[in-house]
Amino acid sequence: MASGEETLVYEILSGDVNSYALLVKRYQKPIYNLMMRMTGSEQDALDLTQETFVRAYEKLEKFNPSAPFFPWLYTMGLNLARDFLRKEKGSPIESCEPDNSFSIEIDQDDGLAEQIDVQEVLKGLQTLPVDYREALLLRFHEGLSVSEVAYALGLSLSAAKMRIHRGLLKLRQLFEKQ
Amino acid sequence: MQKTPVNIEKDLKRIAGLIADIRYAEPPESLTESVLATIKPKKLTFWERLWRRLRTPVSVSPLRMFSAGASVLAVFAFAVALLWRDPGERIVTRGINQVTHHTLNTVVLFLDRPDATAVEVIGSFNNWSQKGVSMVWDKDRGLWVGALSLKPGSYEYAFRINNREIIADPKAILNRDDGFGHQNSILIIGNGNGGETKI
Amino acid sequence: MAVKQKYKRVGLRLLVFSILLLALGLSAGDGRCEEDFKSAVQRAKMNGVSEEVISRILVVGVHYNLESRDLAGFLMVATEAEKRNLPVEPLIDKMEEGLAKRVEAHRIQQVLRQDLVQYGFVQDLLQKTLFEKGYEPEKVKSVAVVRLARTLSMGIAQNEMQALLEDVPKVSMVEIVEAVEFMAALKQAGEEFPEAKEITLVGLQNGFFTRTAWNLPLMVSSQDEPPAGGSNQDCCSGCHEGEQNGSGSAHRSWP
Repeated sequence: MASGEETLVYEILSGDVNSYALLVKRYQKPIYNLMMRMTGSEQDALDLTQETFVRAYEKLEKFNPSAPFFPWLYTMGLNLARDFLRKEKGSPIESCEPDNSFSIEIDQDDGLAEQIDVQEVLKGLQTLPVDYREALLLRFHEGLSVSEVAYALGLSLSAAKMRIHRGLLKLRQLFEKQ
Repeated sequence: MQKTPVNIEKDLKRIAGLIADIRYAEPPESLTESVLATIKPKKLTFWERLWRRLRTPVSVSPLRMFSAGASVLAVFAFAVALLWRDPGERIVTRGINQVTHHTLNTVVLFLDRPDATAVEVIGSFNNWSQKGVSMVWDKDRGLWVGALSLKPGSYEYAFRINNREIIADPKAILNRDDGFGHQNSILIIGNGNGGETKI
Repeated sequence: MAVKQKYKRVGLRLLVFSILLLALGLSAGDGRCEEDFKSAVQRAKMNGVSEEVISRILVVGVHYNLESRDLAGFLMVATEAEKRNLPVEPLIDKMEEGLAKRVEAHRIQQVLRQDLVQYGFVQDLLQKTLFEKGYEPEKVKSVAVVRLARTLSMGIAQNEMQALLEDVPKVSMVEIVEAVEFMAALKQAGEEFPEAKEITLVGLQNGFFTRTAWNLPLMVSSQDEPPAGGSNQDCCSGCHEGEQNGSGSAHRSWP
């Protein structure tokens, strides 16, 4: 039976462009923020977000309507961002190892848990390799299941689980006092 | 100081919670329009549409057939329940006009969207029924107008335009991210006796 | 009469059971999905989810033609809420909202899980702040937890809610909830958090929230717009009127 988005996709394919506007409004924020993280530039992020939605629209016939739309859209966006970085910057702006120069002072007597806040987590995320960072955001910010995270990032289920767990550990390491 | 596994797990949960709490930047408002301006309506042929419809898998299992029979039984059972009720009993259904409170508050809503052909109010006042409360075009004011009769309480609502676009009330002073990519407006109705709103 | 009542009870029980079976048959015949659905119903019952809530989920599922795996997903969220002693009914309201807005079931479930996280945060926060000040947990109803949690999607950050609750004077729970919503409205009207918190605390100290007051956010947001129209206070017996004007000022309906 058709879900809400499955019906939307059918309507879009039948010629209703306004139904696509609903999908754009629903997912523009996470895609735009993905592009901001990848490029660091508002203009590039805007262009890439637009390109993601246009490309997704062009390829909509290939999308399996009974699967969730967002992970499919996300994969497309991530690939576009990577291609863009390869062309524009020569190589992707991502380190293979986390940037260990970022750290904050932690009082050993108090728990780490009480001392870090959202801003510090955000800064820490930016130092992680893309796969780790995006796995954490897809899982805990977007609330995707582990299998959806795996699909969105083109990983196996076990690789996705590992990225998520190791990503959290890497962040925790960054926050510990050196 | 060596961290115990329990402490480490606590740290990881905290970090995961903070990731969930990150506030994303809003994309520019023009993004949707610029995407729509670039794309053209798709055209499926009749056969393509039929093919897509047929592709939706439907299998007939013994359980499914039994369920179909059960649904007939359900209709019958409901009819029995209806017919056999006491004449004095009232079936209470949900809906904004089916309340038993002593005081109803009428709230009139306006929307400035002359481009719309149909506007409805949807919201928690009728459990987000798909069939919203229709608004009427007032050509003298040049506005869409609708009325809700509500008992005291807190409600979320939105306008649905042309059965597609969902927007918050542009003039509401309090809105809320619905988690689905839209904003709901908040309406709070006090009670008539001037006392505290009960929680 | 007794016979009538008996048949009526039998009829209603048959109806609920039939709806359950009908919901089972909604899937595309995947035996594994039906098994998951059945065990989700059993698990929900075992963990104390009420028959009313289960029936409500099923009825909504029938109305929106949901697949049994989606129903199982919603039942699992309700079970999780029940196990953690968090409000369940508001999650079903949210489910209906998402379906009415034609959101995919899986996405709705994600939002419900995020709501659970928010409810849990508020409960923990109330434990750390108000209950330590002497508020009685059994007197804090789930409506308060839900309304406070909702302000987290109105622009109030978790640390901001904590900062306010740590400083509130000893007032009723009702006033606290209304104060937090009021602070959200101030922030949406353009006030920064420190000022919004200050104004809210002054309001609490002066009993401003014994009747919910929204004039200040209205004034802050309307400072550049002359109010157009006014409230039509044409009272008939038992009803009050207010306006939320799409082309002018906005205010609450309040006697």
